[in-house]
Amino acid sequence: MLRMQRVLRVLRRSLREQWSHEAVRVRGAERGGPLGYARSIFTAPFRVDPAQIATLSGPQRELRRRAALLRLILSCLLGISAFVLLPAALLGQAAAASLVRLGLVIGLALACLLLNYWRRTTLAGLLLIFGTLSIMVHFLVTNPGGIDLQVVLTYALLAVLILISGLVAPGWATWLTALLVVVTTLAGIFARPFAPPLAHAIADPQQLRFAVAGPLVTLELFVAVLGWVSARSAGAAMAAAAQAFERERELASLKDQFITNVNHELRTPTMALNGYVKLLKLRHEQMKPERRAAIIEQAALAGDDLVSLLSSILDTQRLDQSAQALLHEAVDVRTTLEAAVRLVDPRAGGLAEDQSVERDLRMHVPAGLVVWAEPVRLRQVLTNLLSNAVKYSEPGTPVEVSAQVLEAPLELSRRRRNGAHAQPRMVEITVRDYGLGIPPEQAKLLFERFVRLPRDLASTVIGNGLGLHLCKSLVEAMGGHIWVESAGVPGEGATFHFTLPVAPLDTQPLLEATSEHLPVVVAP
Amino acid sequence: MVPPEPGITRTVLVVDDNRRLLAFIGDALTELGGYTVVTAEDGIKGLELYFALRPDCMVIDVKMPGLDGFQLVRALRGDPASASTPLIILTAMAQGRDRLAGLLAGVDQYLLKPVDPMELVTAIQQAITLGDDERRRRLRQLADEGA
Repeated sequence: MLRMQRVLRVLRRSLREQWSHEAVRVRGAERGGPLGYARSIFTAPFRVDPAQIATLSGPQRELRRRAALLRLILSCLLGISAFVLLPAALLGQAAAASLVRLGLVIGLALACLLLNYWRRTTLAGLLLIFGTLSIMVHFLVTNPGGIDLQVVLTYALLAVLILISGLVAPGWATWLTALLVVVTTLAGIFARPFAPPLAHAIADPQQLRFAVAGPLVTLELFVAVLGWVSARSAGAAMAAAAQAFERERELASLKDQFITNVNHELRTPTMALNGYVKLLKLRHEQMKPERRAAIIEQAALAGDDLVSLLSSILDTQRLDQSAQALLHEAVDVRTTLEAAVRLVDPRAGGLAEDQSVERDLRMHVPAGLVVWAEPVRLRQVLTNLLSNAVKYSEPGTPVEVSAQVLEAPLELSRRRRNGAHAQPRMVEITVRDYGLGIPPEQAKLLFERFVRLPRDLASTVIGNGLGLHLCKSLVEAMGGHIWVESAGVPGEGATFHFTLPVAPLDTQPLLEATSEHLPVVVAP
Repeated sequence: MVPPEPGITRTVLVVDDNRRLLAFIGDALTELGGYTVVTAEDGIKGLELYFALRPDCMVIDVKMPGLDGFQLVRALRGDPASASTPLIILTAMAQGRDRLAGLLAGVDQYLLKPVDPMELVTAIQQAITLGDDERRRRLRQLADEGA
């Protein structure tokens, strides 16, 4: 007796732990115990945790969705069969065959629940669908009476089975179930006789068969489509949620990277500016005038650095808001390029302020080539690209700039491969350097806001990850597209391409293309 | 503030990849502390200049190309010839774990940018006057706390 009590106590404790464990394991449970577990069965299929599904592949997400739905459907089936249908059948003194079928359904539901618990979800779903189908077909085939209302309703219930297969079974199983059900329905309606009361009442049995089979088959096919569509929609929704979560995580990481980067970049010029001012405050009376002037000049330069950094940050925000407000006009490419060259900061090339190094700027730009753009913004794009070419290549290596009108189909298809919209009469401008190059897998990241390559973050090259994003925003606001081509091999460098619409014909004179090699002295 | 030593000119080696900041620190230490300031723009150059000049103190940035600040500190502390050199980190890396990493690497002071020029001068003077025994005691204490 004591041993029995001890065993019961151990059993109760292990069941309680099992329920608690299950309640924690099943997502959505708020507290343990059987109630929590029961609640989780009904809430789990409708709770989507983007953080969790983002870590899963497409097939894994689909499996998880089906497992949750299967658990819900099987629990309902078991509950209804065991607590409603079975007592009703027993009280109504149903035939032995009915009781056996009910017992089979309950056993099938239990077996499928166990398989699902052991993560054999697909097998559990298939067993449920085809097991239930077999039981119902057996009933229809072995029913001694002919076609009557009960039989017609049973055929209609088969449509529910198709819907369930759409929710818990793979797509092919849904269509296979639908096919089997339609064949069973047609065979049953056309091969079996009508039950005696019905047989005597109708004049044309054949017409009635069509009248019954038609709506039944239509219902079954419609439900098959519905089940398949709902499963696909649920899968697509989960994929979209996972994608949105991934994108949000990427943006959060980019934001953190930007904050870290800007934090580091801002502290340095702030320290120089603030420090010089404090130095003047402490020692201005003891300093000679020329020394005082030199300190003030240094403070001003530190202030310029700070303003330049803040302007870059604010520019991207302003540009995003005012992209549609650009005033386009006919802009000569060559003239704008020459203006941009004058603005490139020689110190960006890693040179000391008292050094000057000749760089060969090779221009292959037709004179008179005119694009439809905003002149200041075009100059800004060219300045950014030329500045990057200087910054990320060794002093003395050449920089090449070329421009051409795109008209040949081959050129257009090359642009299409890089995502540009195919538009007639576009000008493609390229800026090529022979520097470090860009790893191909990181090329697309460069145009994201606040992104700098890990290699560049560790280098002496100053940057805030906004220049190329600014170029992309500007080029797209002017109706073009920008991309980069690079093998990522140091010495081969990178080629930045961007396109802009050709200016209307009445604004551009036709001149022959010229190529020039201009020695450009990069000096302060 | 620890008063400067009369008649003694100390040499401070500053290692930072930002030229503007190097110029400012040079001006500030010269004006306020009377130091002779030598600068280097990366960790490797800093190491070379250290062994060439044997400065009285080093002020080191962390994020630099090649040899970063922490690596430079560990290299100096690992060599008996340079283990006792006063070392100060001056960085924009403000997280607690970065500060702990710096102190465990063996620096005498971990200062955050932007730093007041007088505070920097005071930190250098304190680091220079810190004895070897006291330096070793602090490192042991940090190692015990970190464990």
